[in-house]
This record gives sequence, C-alpha cells and structure tokens, in this order.
Amino acid sequence: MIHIDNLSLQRGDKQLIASLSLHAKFGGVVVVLGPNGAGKSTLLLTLAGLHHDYTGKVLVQGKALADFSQQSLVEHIAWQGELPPTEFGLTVEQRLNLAAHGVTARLEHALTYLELELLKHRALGELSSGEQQRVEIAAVMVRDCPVWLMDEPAAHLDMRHQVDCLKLMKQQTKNGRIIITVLHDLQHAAAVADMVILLDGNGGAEVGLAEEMLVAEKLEPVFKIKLKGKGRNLMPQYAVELSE
Amino acid sequence: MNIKQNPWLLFTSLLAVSVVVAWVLLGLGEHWINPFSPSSDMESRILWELRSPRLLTAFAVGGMLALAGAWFQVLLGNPLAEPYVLGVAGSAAVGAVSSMALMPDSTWAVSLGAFIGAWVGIAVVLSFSHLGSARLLLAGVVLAAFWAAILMLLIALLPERGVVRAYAWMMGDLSNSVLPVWSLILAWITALGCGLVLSLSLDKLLLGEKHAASLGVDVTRLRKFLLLLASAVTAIAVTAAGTIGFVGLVVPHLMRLLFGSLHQRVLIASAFGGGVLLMLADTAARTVISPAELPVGVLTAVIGVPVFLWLLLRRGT
Amino acid sequence: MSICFLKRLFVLLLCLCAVSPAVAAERILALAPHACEILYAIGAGKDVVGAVSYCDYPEAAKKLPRVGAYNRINVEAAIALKPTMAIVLDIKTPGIKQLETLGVKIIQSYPKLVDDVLSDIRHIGEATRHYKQATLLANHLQQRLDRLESSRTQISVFYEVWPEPLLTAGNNTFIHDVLKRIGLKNVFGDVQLEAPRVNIEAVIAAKPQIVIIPSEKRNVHERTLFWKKWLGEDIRVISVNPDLVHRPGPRLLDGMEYLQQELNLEH
Repeated sequence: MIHIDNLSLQRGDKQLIASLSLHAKFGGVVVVLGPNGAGKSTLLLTLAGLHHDYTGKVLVQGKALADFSQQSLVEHIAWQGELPPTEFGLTVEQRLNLAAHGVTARLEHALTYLELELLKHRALGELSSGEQQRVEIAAVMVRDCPVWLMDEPAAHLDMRHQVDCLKLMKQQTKNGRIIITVLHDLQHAAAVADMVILLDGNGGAEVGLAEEMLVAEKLEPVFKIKLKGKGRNLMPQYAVELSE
Repeated sequence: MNIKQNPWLLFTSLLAVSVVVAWVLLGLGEHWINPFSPSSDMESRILWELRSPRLLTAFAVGGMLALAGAWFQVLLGNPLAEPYVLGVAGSAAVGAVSSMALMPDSTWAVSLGAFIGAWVGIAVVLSFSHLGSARLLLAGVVLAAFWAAILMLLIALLPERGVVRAYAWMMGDLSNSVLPVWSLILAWITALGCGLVLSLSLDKLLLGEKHAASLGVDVTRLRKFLLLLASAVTAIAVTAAGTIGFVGLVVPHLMRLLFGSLHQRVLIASAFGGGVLLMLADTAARTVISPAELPVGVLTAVIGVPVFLWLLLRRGT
Repeated sequence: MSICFLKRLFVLLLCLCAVSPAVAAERILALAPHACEILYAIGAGKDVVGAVSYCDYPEAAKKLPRVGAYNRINVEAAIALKPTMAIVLDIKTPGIKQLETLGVKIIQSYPKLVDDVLSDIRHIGEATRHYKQATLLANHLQQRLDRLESSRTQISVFYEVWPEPLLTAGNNTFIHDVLKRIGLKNVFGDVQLEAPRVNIEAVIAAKPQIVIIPSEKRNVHERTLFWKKWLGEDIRVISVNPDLVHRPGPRLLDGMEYLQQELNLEH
C-alpha cells in the first residue's frame, strides 16, 4: 500500500534523509526512530502531503504521491501531529466531527474507546494536554483511513492511556491498517513495532524488521547511549553512576 | 438547542429579530413617528427617505464588518484580529482624505478615494499573503502604522475645515453612503453566501494550517481567497460609511460565546448581529444629544465593549 | 546765535531722529488672514513683510512671503524677515512663544464677536502707529453696523457649514454672532458645540425660514434642490462668500450688508 523508493528529504538547505526505501503492503506498525532533528516528523509530513521538498518515488495505493490532490490523499492517509491551537473554543465533539465528516457512529465509538464521552461538550482549551492528546488520537480513529501517520501519539499521556494507545495501534493493524508512527520510548517501540525505520540524524536511513533493528548494536551508535537488556526489555541505562 | 442545530432556523429567527428591532428603531429620531401610521406626509417621507436608508445602510455595513472580522480572525489564527488590522482601513482613509485635499468641492470623490485607497492597501497586503499567519499579521500591523503616518501628514496639510471633515469621515457616517442601499444589501447577502459555502473549510482552518491540510483543505488557495474576500467586504463597508471600529472585533466573539465556534452559525449570527448592533449604535448616535449627532464610531465602542465584557465574565474561564 | 549752537542743535536733532522710534519703520508679520486685511485697510500695508497661508486679500497680500499657517508658524522663516511685530490669532499657536522670546512684539487679535472686530482694528491701529486711519475705518464700519441693526428683522436661519456630514455652527462661534447682528436667529444657537453634526430631521423640525450656505467648495445648486426637497419649495437659500462672514476683518460689513440686502429682497 505504501511504496517508498529512494526517498530523499530536504528541509531548507539541510538534507535530512539521503535515501529511504520501504514497502509496506498489509497491516503492520512501522516505528520511526531517531535522535532529535533526524527528520522523523518531516518524513511523516511528507507522506501526509504536507511537506513537498523531496525527491524519489512515493506510491500510495499504487499512485504517486504528487499525483494526488490534497482532498483525495486524505481519504487514504490520516495524520496526527502536534496539538492544534485552542483559542477559538471548539468543543471536543465539534473537533472530532470535522475529522469524521459527520459519520456519527465512528464518533461515538472513538469517544468511548478513549474515554472522552464526559468531555464531549468541553472546549479543547479547557482540557489537559493528556486529554487533548486523546482527542487527537480519536480524530485519527474516526477517519477510518487505511494509513495512519502518528507523530508521538503517546506524548502527554499517563501510563494507563499509553498502554491503551499502544493496544489500539496493534488492534488496528489486524484489519489491514498500516500505522507509521514516531516514538521516543524504546519499550513502546518494542511493544508494537513490526518494522523499524532508523534515522541516524546524518542522512542515513535503515529499514528492517523490528527484531533485527531493535538491538543494541544498531541503536547505540545512533543514540549515543548505553543500552541494556534485549528484546522487549531493551532500554537505556538510566541509572547514573556518579564517579567520586 | 435546536436553534444551534439548524442553520435555516437560526437564519430566519435572527432575520425576524432584526426586522423587529429595525422597525422599532425606525420610529426613533428627532421625535417619535409611529412606523405603522405616520401622521403626515412629511413624517412618512422622513421615515422612508431619511431613516430607513440609514438603518438599512447601518445593517448592511455592520453585518459586513462583523463577517470580515470573523474571517480575519480565522485567517490570522488570532482572536484579536479585526477588519482593519492589515491596514486596509488606513489606506482607505488616506484615499478619502487625499480626495478631500485634491477635490475639495465634491463629496462623491471622497468615497471613490476611499475605495481606491482600500484596494491599494489590499494589493500591498496580498503580496505578503504567502507568509504564515504570524508574519502576515506583523506585516499588516506595520502597514497600518505606515498608512496612519501618511494620514497624519495629509491632515497636517489640510485647512482647518478640511481637518473637521477628515475626522468626521474617519469616525463613521452612515447617512451619506455613496453606494446605494440595494447594492449594500446585495453585498451583505453575497458576503454571507460566500462565507457559508466556505464554512466547513474555515472550521478546519481553526485547527491550524497543518491539521486543516491533513483534513483535505487546500490551505494556500483558501487563505488567498479568504484574504481577498474579507478585504473586499471591508473595502465596501469603509467606502460606504468610513472607518467604524469595534464591530468587526467584538461581534464575532459575542456570537461565538452565544452560539459556539462553528462557522456556519458564527457567520450567520455575525451578519445579523453586526447589523443589529450598528443599527442600535447609529440610532443612539442620532438621538442621544439631539439635535447634535455623535459619530457612530463612538457609540459602537460604548455599546459593544461593555456588552462583550459582561458576556465574557458571565461565561467564567 | 552762534554757529556752534546751531551745529549742536543740528546734531541733537539728528540724534533724536536716529534714535526716535517714530522714524524707524515697523516690520509686521500678518499671521492670520483677517490681520492681513486689517493692516492693508488701515494703511499699514507697506509695513507688512510676511504673511501666512490664506492671506489672499487684497491682491498685494498674495505676493507676501509665507511663513506658515495660522495654526503653525515657521519660526525660522519668520525671523529671516527681521520682524518687529506680529499680529496673531491665538497666542498659544506653536511658534509664537519663540518669536516673542526673540524680541518680536506679539499682538493678539482673536475676535469672538462682531464688536471685537472693531475694537481690534483700533487696537492694531494704535500698535502700528496708524491710529488715525484705523479710527476712521472703525468709525465708518460702526456706522454701517448701526444702519444694519436699525433695519433688523427677526428671521430664523439654518447655517450649513458643511453638507456631508451635515455640520452647522453652534453657540460660541463668530458666525453665530454675525447672524445675530443681522437680525437672524440661528436655529441651532443653543448648541454649545462649535461645529456640531446635526441630523436632517432636526433641521426640518426647527423649521428655519432661510438656509445660508457658504459658496466655496460645494455645489450650491445641488444643495438648494436638496433643501427645497426637505424644507419646501418656498425655502429661501442664500449663498455667501465665506471670506466675508467668517473672516473677522474689514470686509465683514460687506458680507453682512450683502446678506441683509438678500433678506430684504424678500420683503
């Protein structure tokens, strides 16, 4: 469904990614990992049709990205990014309706799943950032697109909702959805990833199966930290040894 | 609750309210004339040749200013935006006052000058339209200051009576619109119509440009068109009545507080709300210190601001 | 008498002549249009060295160098003309204080009433040492004024200062007093503002018998039609040169007599 060949990404004069290739056909979670500024968000923006400074081939459902009008592209691709501004007093329900295009059944389901029913008529500006984040995840849910692009969906969420979010992603891919998500937490990545795109911050991009990519040998040079454990328990060494 | 759901219901009920208010205001003036049965030929003429054109002008201009205000607020992503924030009023005033200086004998030339001035201002702003909201706003504020400086220069060069005229024009005058009433009502209808067609896209634009684009909106085209539409409507309002303030800022907010933030309701409510507010303000302007008149711009501030603040406090957070 | 004595007398006389200010000519700045007219009318025209904008009467005044406007004086340009005296409208005008500190004698002439015009003419005459001519002029104008008042009729009038927006003259204005002295009653004479904006309805309700319109910068014919529409076909609309009724100078009586004449034509 998503076919990327030799994608090269720029932002301004800086080249973020030299060459990236990815073939994602059926349901699965692709996790994008990398240090800050590596181009993770820009990669998602490009796939969403929101960033145009790239070369290479990107095919969505067999059609080139550039050939889509914005209107038709968004039928296939749902993007979740930073929290939208809240100055104008839109309520949760109104915000979700804009995404759902009036299909109320999906709206109710999303509200229930993300425990937002009680907040339905509250203005977005009155919610905590965690609640707003859940609204954004709901906004992607209601659209029922085959591809979800999620930029740090677990940000601001407390642990229970983080778990729910990851569970949601795994469930959705059972129906054939492709979810490409940027995650910062290695354990989160380990919990959901089927494939991993590793951006090293110098233009390099490596794509592979999760079990092959989520190993210390690959991650330590990119993130420049020490990792311990393996598999699902792979994580940074947070405990700091103070030298005398 | 129902009124918020159904736009047609909203439209017709606001229309009914406007008509009732207008009818009552029609009777007010130098002395009360019963609109249903004027007691003399002169009274009838006063009603239909003096008061009603002025009320209808006020309605159309007020509605258009409120619509333009709502559009500038969503365009710039800033609740403090209003029709004059990008300098269109400033350039219109420069045009009007230039006409006063160059062709002091004629009164229609002032409106033509205002119109041309407004479009010069719009053209300048359009050349910045590709900038993001924050920088567009900054450019507009600077431009507005520029026009204000030119205006000061012109006023300094005018003879004394010219200065009185210049300020009188800038403070608003609904009794001498060079654009006929029917054209203003038509403009009001067209403006509201265009706005309603765009209202779903405008709602999406409230989420910011990225989110709006991710929901299918052609953001660049929409912003350009919106800027043009809002500026054109402002230009018409300013040409007809001078630069009347506060309506464009306060009315859309008031309507959002009353009816929620979705544009379908906000635009309908603003088009009527702005019209009613300006009709009230103008009636007060011509009766409060009778036989003298106050400039209507003073009244829009005096009426609009306290009402808005009261509603804001009522709503709490 | 010795030649010595005569010589000393001669020298004394010379000194007196040189020192006596009566011989040295004044250099006068006319910093208001009416001041200009007054100066020329009392024979002090040759002493005027500078004027401001709108000093357009008599013809000779148009050739005078300009030093600003009545409400803003260009001090440098003024001083360059080496004035000894300046006649100003309002002493609070920017620039006047500086002229005063630089040694220019400031004389204020800000007539608020018709009578003030005559007393100012005398006052200016005294200051510029053209007292005889000034008194003659003032007396002559006073006679004309008295003649006017004896043929007074009480007629209500609406004075249209400007058509759009509709502006009129209120209580504390010069024009209000001018109208009063011709025997006209300004229908908005009790409004305490200087140039109030008024509603057409208020004019209609006030039922003026006459409408007076200054003839500069507007289409008098159009305005006449307009007032006929609202005040009736038989409303009398008179247009007058505003320089003759707004400017508190010697031509004021020309304007007042003209208006009186126009009024009397009716009767």
